[in-house]
Amino acid sequence: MTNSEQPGASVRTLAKKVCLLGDFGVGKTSLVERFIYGRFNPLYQASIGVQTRRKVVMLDDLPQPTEVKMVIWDIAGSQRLSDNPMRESYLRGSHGALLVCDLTRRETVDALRGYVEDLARVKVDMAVVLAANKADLEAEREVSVEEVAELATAMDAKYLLTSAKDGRNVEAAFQALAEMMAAVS
Amino acid sequence: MVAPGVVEVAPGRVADIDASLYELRRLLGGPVDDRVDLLEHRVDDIDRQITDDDLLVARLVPIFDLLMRRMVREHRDVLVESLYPVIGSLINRAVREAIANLARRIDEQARQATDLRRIGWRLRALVGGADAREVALRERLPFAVEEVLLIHRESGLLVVHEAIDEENAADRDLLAGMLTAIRAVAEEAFAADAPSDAQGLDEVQVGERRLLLEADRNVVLAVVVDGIEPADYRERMRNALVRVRGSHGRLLEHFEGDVDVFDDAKPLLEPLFDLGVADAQEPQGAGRGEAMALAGAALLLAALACSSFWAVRWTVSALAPAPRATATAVSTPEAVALPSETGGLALEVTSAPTVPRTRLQRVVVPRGNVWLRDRATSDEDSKIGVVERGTALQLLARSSTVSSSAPDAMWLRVSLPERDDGPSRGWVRRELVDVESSRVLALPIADETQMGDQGDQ
Repeated sequence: MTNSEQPGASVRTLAKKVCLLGDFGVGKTSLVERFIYGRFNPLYQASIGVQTRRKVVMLDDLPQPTEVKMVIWDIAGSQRLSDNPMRESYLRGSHGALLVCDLTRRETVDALRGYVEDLARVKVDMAVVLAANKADLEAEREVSVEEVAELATAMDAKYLLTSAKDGRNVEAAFQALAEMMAAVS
Repeated sequence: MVAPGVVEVAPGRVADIDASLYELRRLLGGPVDDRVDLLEHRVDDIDRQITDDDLLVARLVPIFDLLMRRMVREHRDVLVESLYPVIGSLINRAVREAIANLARRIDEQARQATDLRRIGWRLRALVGGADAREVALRERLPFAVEEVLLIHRESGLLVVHEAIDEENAADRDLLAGMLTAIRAVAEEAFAADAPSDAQGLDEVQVGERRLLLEADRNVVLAVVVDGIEPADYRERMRNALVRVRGSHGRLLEHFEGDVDVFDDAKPLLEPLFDLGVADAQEPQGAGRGEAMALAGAALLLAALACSSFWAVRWTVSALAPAPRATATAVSTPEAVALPSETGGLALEVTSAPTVPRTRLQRVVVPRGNVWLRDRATSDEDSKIGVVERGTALQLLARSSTVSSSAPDAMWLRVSLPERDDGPSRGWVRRELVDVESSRVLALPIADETQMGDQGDQ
């Protein structure tokens, strides 16, 4: 909607860099695929290096309608900055991060603290949302919701139980991140 | 009962004592209160000055100015040592670039001296009566700027994007991101070998297109080009960066993704679309070797042409049965068969051969009938003709103007197909035409010599 078509309702445009972090196989790329294309590929293909994707999220509830152009950097897991300095250049300039763990593998949840440390080295007070993925596999869960909530509180982050497979909360996770990033601009 | 050490005072005297104490405090503390008020005022003032960035800068600039002057005067060596890592690397880079340009020119001259194609161009120009420099320039000109991207260096976010053909330039956010990632990889991979002042990736080639990259501390300027850029194009890119930094430096320093504020930076990048070639001049002093080679080739060709002419004339005269109507041969060079008095066919080589050739050029096609103008403006008196819908025009240059009648209009300089009457080139409004970047337009050589006329953009 342009200004001339609807006077007084000008849309603000924000471009935001979002990075996805988490161990191998937690479903980072699947979450992006679900969010961008609305599809799920059950075959696992490990990501190499980094991929960028883009989606525009409209935030109508803000005082000024805001269009957030999210450029998502899907960074291949699971090395830490100390193991691969290249990752720092990928993280640099990020405005938000989606931390992803796999509820059926406890070690992926424990590893999140390390990623938070990496983020803090690049930028303080980054908007962070924790996506506890594979929530559809309830019978195989190794981590309780309470533990995830506790971890999110410690990280000062929002959390959502997501599933790239059935799509639950995927849109909501990115929407929450967009809102957090728009709030600080 | 009064406690020990306490003096009992009659109730009537309490008020007197209070008044006395008040008077005593006024006498003793009056000046102190005034000073406290003054100090509070000064503290507030100082607080205001140090929290207001502009005020603070205004106060500090003269001090730093004095400091720098004294430093330069009294501690020159220290200053030079401190600044050398910064300025020295810039000077190094400029010198290296100048030497590289010089080497490129020398290579180019050496190549031109032995390049048979160039000898061909000279011959063609000689026969066609055209300026050799224009023919050479036309041959070297398949250079077009397709897109300009201004990318935030740290985040890889696209700040400004301009394209000749917006429809074929979608998803440039992803391109900007990947370019940033590639730059990071390249810088990391070659960090050990690179000089300390290396600015990183300079160029990326994708098929026939290239991305020329120039970076400063906050942004990367990427220009998508097709063909070989003029020698001074890098300088133009750096100048554009300087302009952007001059007008939007603070916004870039504190960039948080608000791209709307960079809308007014677009005109600063427009000059990068101009197709003017600064080094259009033929290299001077191509050398005696080239001249001799040219003369030899010309003599050889002349001898061959003479012998062929007489051989063909004799053969045709002997075999041809009767005169025919005028016919046009399409061989190279163009030949015209004319009836001769002897009853045979006489072949005449035209003085300006028009060899059909094809070259990749941007083609501009009007969506409807559009005005052709002699300058990039909507003024009534600029109209010089009408271009009919669907006519294939050749894109020569691009320009933007700001006028009251058409603010921020984009204009394209176009060349019309050859015609007997009316103007052969002019300006059309960008939004009234389609630009077909991948279409091949056949250009006759006779038309090529006009390409040098681009200085009026």
